[in-house]
Amino acid sequence: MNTTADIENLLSRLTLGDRKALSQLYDKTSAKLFGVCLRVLNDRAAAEDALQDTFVKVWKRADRYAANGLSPMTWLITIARNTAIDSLRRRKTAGEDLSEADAVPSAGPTPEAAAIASSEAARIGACMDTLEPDRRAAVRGAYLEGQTYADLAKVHDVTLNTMRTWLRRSLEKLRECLSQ
Amino acid sequence: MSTETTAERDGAMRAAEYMLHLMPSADRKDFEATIAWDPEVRAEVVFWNEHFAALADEVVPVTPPATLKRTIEAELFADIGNTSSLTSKLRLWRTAAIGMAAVAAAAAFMAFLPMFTTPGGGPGTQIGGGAIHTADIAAQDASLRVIAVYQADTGELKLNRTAGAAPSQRDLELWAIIGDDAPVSLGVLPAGQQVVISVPEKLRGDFQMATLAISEEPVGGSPTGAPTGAVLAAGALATF
Repeated sequence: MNTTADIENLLSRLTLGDRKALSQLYDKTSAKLFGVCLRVLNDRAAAEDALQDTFVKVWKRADRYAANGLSPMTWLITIARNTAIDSLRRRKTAGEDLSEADAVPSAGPTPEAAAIASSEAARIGACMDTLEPDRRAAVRGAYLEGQTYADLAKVHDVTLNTMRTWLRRSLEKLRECLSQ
Repeated sequence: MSTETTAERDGAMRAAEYMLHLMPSADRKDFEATIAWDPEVRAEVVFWNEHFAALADEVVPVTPPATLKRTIEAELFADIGNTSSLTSKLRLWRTAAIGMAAVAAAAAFMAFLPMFTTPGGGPGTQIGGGAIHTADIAAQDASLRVIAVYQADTGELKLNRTAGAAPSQRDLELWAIIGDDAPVSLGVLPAGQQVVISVPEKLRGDFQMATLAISEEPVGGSPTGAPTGAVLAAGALATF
């Protein structure tokens, strides 16, 4: 199994230009990250492009990993997800200026991240279960499929403002639950 | 949570919207600027990312096509031995190295104290009148570390290897990168712990601004004149 320490070690080797480390990181994580890209893009060719971009970014930005405050697998998933969502939005609204698909701009480590990642990860499932089923589906749609307010409003057949309210209340509830 | 202000809760909600990619892209850019300077907002973004990443556990892993790995490696490494990509990598190193300069100066002083104080005389007696520049050429995991001291008036570069050695059947080669120029070889590092090399005349003009890097190369040094192996360590010269 991939431990956090294994992935962290590989990331640190990337900063030294270690190509073997990239190959090993790919072997360990590409199936998970490809799954994340596919879930968002729902298109194999587009997901392959997104996965390729993801690993190119990981190679080029590995030096920023240490300072961004995220645990290693979260960092990789966040880059894959952001890359896939940017690709999805680009396909939808051609020409719009998209933000850099960076996880979190780096500046100062936050040691809490590792603690959240390791011991509290399971909480999100329990907290999601406290939401109404349609609210829960909307939050999951936003995270896992990269849906916008407009997409979600359409899928759930409510107005845009209702969807904004749904998500805001759901996120407030989640935050309170996750912070307990 | 009961003591939380409305502003704090708004900040947390904005962080969640950012994490979920629900902001318009212009707002997203603005918010990234906020993240960069506000540690509390940054912590909120980390909070949401870490918790939600666990939702990805339910995503079924799918093995990508076997050719994709080669495609990625070809995109990244098609330019093996190409100095421009190496230079850009070294530029990253150099940025990181600037923060280390003060540490390097102190480390260099400690590492070279014995060298300067023998034989006889007090510390610094052999340094001479020229400006001294130092670099801490270190791997990030500290597996290789060479402290360099450059004496501008004599063009002498003193190297003190405090950790690490060449991989088996390989040599360590020292490179100088000045500005945007391609790396120039300063030769294969001898096995000894302390060595003094003479910097070529034509490099001396701007040598105090160089970044020094060590790559691993075939025995005898790079066959191409440009680095061909992995860059193991790098550090920028700074005025001592």
